[in-house]
Amino acid sequence: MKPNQPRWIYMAVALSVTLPFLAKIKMTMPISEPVQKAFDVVEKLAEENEGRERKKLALLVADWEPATMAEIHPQVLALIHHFMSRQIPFAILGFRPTGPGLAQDLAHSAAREWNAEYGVAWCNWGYKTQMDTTIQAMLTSFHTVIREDTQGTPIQDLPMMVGFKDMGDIGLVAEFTGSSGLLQPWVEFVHAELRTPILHGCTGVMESPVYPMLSSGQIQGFMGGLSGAAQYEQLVGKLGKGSEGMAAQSLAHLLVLGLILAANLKEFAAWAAKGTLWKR
Amino acid sequence: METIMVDPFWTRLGLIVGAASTLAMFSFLWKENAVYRFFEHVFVGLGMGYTVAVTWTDVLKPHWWDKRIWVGAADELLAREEMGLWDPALWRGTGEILPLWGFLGIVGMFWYFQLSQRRAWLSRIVIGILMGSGAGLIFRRIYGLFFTQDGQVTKSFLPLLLPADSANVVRQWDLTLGALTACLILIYGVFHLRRVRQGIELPKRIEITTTASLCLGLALGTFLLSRGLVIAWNNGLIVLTLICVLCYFLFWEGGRRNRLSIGAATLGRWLLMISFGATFGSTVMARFSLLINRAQYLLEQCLNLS
Repeated sequence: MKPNQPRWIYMAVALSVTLPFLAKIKMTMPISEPVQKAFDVVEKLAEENEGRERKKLALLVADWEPATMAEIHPQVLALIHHFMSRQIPFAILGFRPTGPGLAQDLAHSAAREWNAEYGVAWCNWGYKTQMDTTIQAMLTSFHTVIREDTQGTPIQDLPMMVGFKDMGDIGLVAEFTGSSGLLQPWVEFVHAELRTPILHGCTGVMESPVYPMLSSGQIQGFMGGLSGAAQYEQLVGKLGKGSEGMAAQSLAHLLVLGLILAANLKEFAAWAAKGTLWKR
Repeated sequence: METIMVDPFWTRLGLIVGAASTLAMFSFLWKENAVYRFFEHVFVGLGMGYTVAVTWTDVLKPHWWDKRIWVGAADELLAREEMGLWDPALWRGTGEILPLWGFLGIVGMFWYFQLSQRRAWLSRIVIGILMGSGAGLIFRRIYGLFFTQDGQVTKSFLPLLLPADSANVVRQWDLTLGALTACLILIYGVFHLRRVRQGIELPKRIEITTTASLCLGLALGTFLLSRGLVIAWNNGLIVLTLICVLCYFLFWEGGRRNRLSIGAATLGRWLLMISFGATFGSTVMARFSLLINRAQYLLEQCLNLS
């Protein structure tokens, strides 16, 4: 095998990714403004709910797929832990077929830790199609769209849904997705009409288009990629897969930077040897 | 909700299959091979199968079949029988639920005529309905996202200077106008200073005005900047990027070009490159996250190493 074959690079990357796990390194991150804002929005909802007989719900919109769960799962799990620790009831809803099932697995695992009961602390409204029209229908006649949970229980029979009238009883929408175009309907229909705070979690690839939405006040906080998850885990005080992953992520990034530098130096050296370095 | 206890055998089998699938997918790094191709197809098939199943169980069955077709029809028939009204002719006249919702189901099925070359035109009816409603909604969405009070275009028009108490809009505008005045006074001063340096004789009063305007402009500018430098930097950067990137798309090629527009366009191009670089960096991070997730799965769940 020649030394410049990509397989050496793959091997180096594999080592850089696995070594931090074997060494059990967990990395702490500086908290960025968008993640802090996301945390503050949840805290604000918890404070609003204190002393209220009928608590406002958080809506966890699960619009991700297995291909993006590597980044989204740590974010969602950290948020669910936050909801449960602050006793904010939440409902899962999804416009991607796989989303609600994946979110339900996470909710189950967190519920075991917090001894949270289904129907009291959380519930699953399942998968719905046609996002724009469904959201608009939820705004005008909620109970015709959301009638029962995934188990077939009528939602008014769930203790957390007793007295729930309309979308005004939702205090926060948290949309998690790895696809584009799924955040906008919530902003346009729910935030614009009811001023419901919107929180967003996305993959690293999707981060850039979200910043203008944050600075214009269309969303109130967001976490991007594994780094966002690690920061949120820190804020919640429950380090998980995000914080574990960031050590590997950082080492892999250092490796990539080193490789870029080495490749450039090699090229410069080749030009210098030919005497063409200053002629370019 | 009942907690489902999974047999450890099935858990172990799941882990083994998961590990095998992961390694098979990574075998592509060595070269394209049949094992990789097989698992790729399994992945796509599983995704599609799950989608079909969950669309039926979560959407079509509860909202269409159970409520509108099967149970709806059965309830209707039962009620009519109890009332002694069961008569097919009467049913046809008043029972609207079954035929209407059944018809919608049939129209929905037209989608699958895409598979037939001869009857493909039928599928266009469904596609047309969806595209039409989508286009109608998107107009509202675009307007709302960009041009309303919270719209991204509206929020791009930012004051370049903000006082410490940025909630005070009147003071923001006062300071912005003050900053513009300071800039104008400074430009006037610099313009005359250049003429003095070029040896052009100017009346005494002009020289005094020049010195005074330079001092005043600098003092006013320093005062204003000291009140809102931090926020002004961010806003200024956004406005500068907006203008320069617009210049890049408008003036990079052809049309009326001068040094200012070319300079702004060049800066816009660099700013675009920086933005693409940041996006690419995030993309690399995302790809590594996928690899890290698989490493976590193999090491922690399958091999129980950490």
